[in-house]
Amino acid sequence: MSLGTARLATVAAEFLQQATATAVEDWLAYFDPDAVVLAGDDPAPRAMNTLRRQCPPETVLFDPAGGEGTRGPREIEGVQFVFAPTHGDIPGGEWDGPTYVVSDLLELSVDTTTLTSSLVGKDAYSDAMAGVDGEFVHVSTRLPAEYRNQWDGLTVVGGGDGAGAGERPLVALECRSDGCVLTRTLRPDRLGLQALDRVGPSRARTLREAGYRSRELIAGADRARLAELPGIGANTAARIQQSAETMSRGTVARTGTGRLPDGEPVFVDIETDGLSPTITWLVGVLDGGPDGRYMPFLQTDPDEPGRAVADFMAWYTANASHRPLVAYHGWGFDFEVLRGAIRDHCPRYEDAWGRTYRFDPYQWAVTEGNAVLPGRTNRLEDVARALGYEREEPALTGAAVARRYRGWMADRETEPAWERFERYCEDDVRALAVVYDALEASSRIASDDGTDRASGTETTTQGTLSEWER
Amino acid sequence: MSQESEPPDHTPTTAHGLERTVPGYEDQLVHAETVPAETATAVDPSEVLGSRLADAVRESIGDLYAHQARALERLAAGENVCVATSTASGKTYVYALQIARNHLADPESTALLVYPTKALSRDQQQELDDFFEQLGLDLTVEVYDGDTPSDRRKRIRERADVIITNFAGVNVYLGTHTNWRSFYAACELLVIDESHTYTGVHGMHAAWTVRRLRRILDSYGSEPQIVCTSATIGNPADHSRRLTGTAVTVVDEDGSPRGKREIAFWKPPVDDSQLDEDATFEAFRAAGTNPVREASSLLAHLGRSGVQTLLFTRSRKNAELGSKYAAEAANRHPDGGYLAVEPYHAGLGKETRRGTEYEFKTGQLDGVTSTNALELGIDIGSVDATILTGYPGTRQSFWQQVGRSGRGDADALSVFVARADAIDQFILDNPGYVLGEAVEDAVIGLANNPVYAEHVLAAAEEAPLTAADREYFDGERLDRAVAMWRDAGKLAGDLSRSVRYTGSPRPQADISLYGSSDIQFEVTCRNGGIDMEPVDRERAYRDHHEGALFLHDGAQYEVVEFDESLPNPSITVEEVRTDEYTETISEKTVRDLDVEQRRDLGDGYRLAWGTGTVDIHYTHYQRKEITTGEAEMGLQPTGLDPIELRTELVWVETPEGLRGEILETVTGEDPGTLTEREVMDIFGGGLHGAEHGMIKLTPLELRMDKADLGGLSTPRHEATGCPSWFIHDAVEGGLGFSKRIYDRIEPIARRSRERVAACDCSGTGGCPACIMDSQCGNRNQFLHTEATVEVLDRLLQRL
Repeated sequence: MSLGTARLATVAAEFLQQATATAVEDWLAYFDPDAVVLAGDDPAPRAMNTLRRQCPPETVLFDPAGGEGTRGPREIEGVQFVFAPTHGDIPGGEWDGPTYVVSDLLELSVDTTTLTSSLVGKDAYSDAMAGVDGEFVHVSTRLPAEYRNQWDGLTVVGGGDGAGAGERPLVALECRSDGCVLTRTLRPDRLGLQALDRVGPSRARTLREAGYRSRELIAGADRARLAELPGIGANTAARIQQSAETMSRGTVARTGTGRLPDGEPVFVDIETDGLSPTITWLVGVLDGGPDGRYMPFLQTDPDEPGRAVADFMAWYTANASHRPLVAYHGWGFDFEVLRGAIRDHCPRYEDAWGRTYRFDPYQWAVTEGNAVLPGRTNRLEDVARALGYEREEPALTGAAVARRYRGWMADRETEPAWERFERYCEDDVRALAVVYDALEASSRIASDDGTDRASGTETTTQGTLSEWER
Repeated sequence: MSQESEPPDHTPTTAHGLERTVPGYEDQLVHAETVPAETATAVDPSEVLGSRLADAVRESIGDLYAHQARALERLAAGENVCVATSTASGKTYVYALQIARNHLADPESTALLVYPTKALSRDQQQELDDFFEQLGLDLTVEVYDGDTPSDRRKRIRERADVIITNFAGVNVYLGTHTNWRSFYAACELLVIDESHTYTGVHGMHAAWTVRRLRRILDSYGSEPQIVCTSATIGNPADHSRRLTGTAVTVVDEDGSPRGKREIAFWKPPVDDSQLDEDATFEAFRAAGTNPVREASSLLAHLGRSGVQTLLFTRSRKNAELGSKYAAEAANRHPDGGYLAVEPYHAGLGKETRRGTEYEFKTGQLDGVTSTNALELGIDIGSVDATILTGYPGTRQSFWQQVGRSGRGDADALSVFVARADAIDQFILDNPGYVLGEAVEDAVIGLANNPVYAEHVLAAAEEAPLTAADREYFDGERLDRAVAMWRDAGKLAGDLSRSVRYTGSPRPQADISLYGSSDIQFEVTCRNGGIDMEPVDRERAYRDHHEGALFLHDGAQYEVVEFDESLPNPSITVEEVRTDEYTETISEKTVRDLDVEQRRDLGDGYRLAWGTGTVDIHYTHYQRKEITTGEAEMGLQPTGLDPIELRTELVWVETPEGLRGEILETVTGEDPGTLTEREVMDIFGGGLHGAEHGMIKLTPLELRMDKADLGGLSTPRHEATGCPSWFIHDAVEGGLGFSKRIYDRIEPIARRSRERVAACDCSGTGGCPACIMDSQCGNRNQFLHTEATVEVLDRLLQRL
């Protein structure tokens, strides 16, 4: 039986009230949800109307506070749901296969004065669930996104409290028919015109008022006319338009004079047990461009930390030690983590690591301003997709993978599907190669003589290390 | 010293000299005390140091004082040390020499010094650099804090032998501790300077940060010795232990030399012949001679007599006024003429301040009127006399200000000019309080859970928590904190294996070292700068609601905007200069009491301590003139919602019969004949007065501000069912102060009783010097001095 996946987007009424039509379009286009759930305290009929207008007609709409929209059991893309505005809607009887109960009936309360956390509404909810048979995942719009826990036998997942309101991210939950939930987020302030470089709320307003209501219009606009607008000078106009062009054409645009490293890159992506990692259990390596050879260095035994890293360094020092190592967000994560792991578990490679040339395309393009990347966000998967890369696997999230490994570390009961994670990592690292190629292609066009690219000594990249330090 | 080359005869440099010579003397001298001189107890450096170092020390600073030698001896024995002696007793040399010793034994060894402020850090860096150079040692001392340029940081971490920072830095840098690996691994000494300043909420944060630091140092194989340098406090061993989490040996016998000194206790004349029996708080204030004027007159008198004098005030405004008054007084003085006097405070420009320091030092000024900015550190040479306007809050500050006077072996004089304030008056009645041995305790309440929980989270991010960490984090409490955070989705795992952090990056950045809740208001000034830490919601509501006037760092501010919107609530202020203050009216209730400790005193009297919920609603405020108490406008609503504070309280329960007893004793009449209003006035007034009195005099016991406490009294409380009064910590989670009151109830109640009984205000409504409190939410209504004394007497009888 194939895996069904239904995507549920949660959103606060506040976001729908304040966002421009383009922003709402972007949000829907990015997540492409099968169902949209309102997250709020009060019924929001106007927000529901907006959704009815803007979402494709087959989209399932639900307002847990107002009970509007759909209600009760519903199957979406092969996944079972129950939309429950009240306890009375909670299913009774026997249920086959994992079912998602969606409501706003559960809330998290953390009381640091008494050192207790509690799930508010648990008792009434449990009572309603008494005598019901089956496997359930309980999604509540009053729980924060990424929240997952077990409370007295209830598997509880956060729907994204206040999603899209203020600075909180918009949330989409990929609910799979095997009971697994992946959480994806999207910043609400980078939608519509604000997705463009150098455009914040006030410039977005200026542009809209001048008639440039979409990115496409800006992409095709006369740069000089843009520069005449209040608060927008010649340089900014150029950047804005370049950004618009990039987004609509799906290519990389060079905006700086930084050089890419010499030599054929070794692409690397690591999987750990979280953002503050204690173990790097998979080092995925791609050798030879987007269609090159993928080598996973895997560490299934949590008690042997450092194995994967040591194996990787053994291969690297023997086969590729003079080639640059490339990782997306390397300077924000991967390189730091690897350095620590080497120091802690295989210090014999410390010198070799110190000598490697490390390159991070994200930092080079976005932080240092050398290029504008296509895609609605600068996330690797979005950039790669905009460049035409299509993933093999239905994607996982780093958070889900880390979570799974942590579960394995804790109880050693069900062994994770290692191959799946290897393939997920492979996807990432091939996507990285695609992005890198695009950067190279754009550099060749931009550079004058195409020769003598920076040989990339250690200090060139290390010079920016201070940005990452405290 | 402006004209003569020699001081004239009958120079008033003694208390009695003042008595004899002050023009228009009105019996202000209440007490005179002579503190005899003390010679140094010197120790040859070779007794505690190796010969090479001893020779170098002898050449540069000479002999060591006894306490320095003893501290070094204890350190050599492997102990941690707290040096609790007065300022200018050379505490810095203790740790400087320990660093030197460590360096000679192992040139790779490092030391981490934590100072309370960035300014002090840079001053000390210079001093230490100079000292090490004198000793002929090649040691790099660097400051590493928020002001250190980012391109120098890596180098300092990798090269410096000694790094000076502050606790805000220590907290944040733990988040990237792998960058500090080499420095931490070689760390052999941890120094916490001015450790007595770590009390209250800030003290809690410092204490948990130290534990997190020691834990990470341990993970790098380092277990440094600890040196705390502290002013004299009542409980140095206990405080150091709470601060560091480990045993510390106290060295407090001061071997440094002191000159002879006279201290005069001076009471400005009060003309209360015009006051009504039911005079208000403000009327009392108005009747007293402004202590700043009184002090300034003294300054003028001393200055004109050739005695160079430093006058300390409590605010910048008074420093400036003081200077003005002194010049005026000098003009009116029989000796007549010009007085060279300048004000000094942190609000003046750097150039101006340097200029004043220089002029004073070189004798061009007769006097300086200053805030406590000149209390220590800054070199102005020595003065002949100091004048204190009001008690500066702690005995340590008192002695610091007094100690500024003294030139060679000439007599030094200090004058304490009392304000119309309970503590000041108490000190006039009982000078032994400041002159005696005992000093306030410094309290760190480690039981506060919200603060604890924040640090547990940060610690988990720094390195996964294991069962071994119970040692650093208070045993089983760690399990509860882990369970809470795990349920909240921020931690995963369990202590038997490991607990890892799964929340958003850098939890250290969320910790505010001065706050105990996660809602902190940023304070910004519209017409200038203000250097103020973010404020907890409780304090923001109480002191910084829209329209409130408050003092900070000696300057006055008005709150012009109060914005509660999350995630960044803020308070906008404007610097102002008014003669007003704001009085805020509140409603308060106490409920959900959980008794943790209780003493049954018999006869229906009980003393209890525990936790509870205090609901406080700051409803209205009013601006009033300081001297007349007149209000320009009526009550203004604050627009605030009630606050719910879960905190610690101490309370006294009394028997039902107390009501009748008090009413009869005070009125001499049958209680049944009294009106409800009279009952409230007298009996209610007695309980209320007991509550106020104890709150106001607790700072004599503990290093704290009375704003850290709140109270409530009632003839019948819902929970206790009897006449009671409560004193609670004013911060979510508690501060440890109410617990201290519970433990020290007897001296606190006794002092309160004495003050009220001895107060010579007329009538029974009390006065600011006994039971009136500027922070009373009820506008000081229902206070009765006689009833208060009776109530406290009955309590004291049973303690």
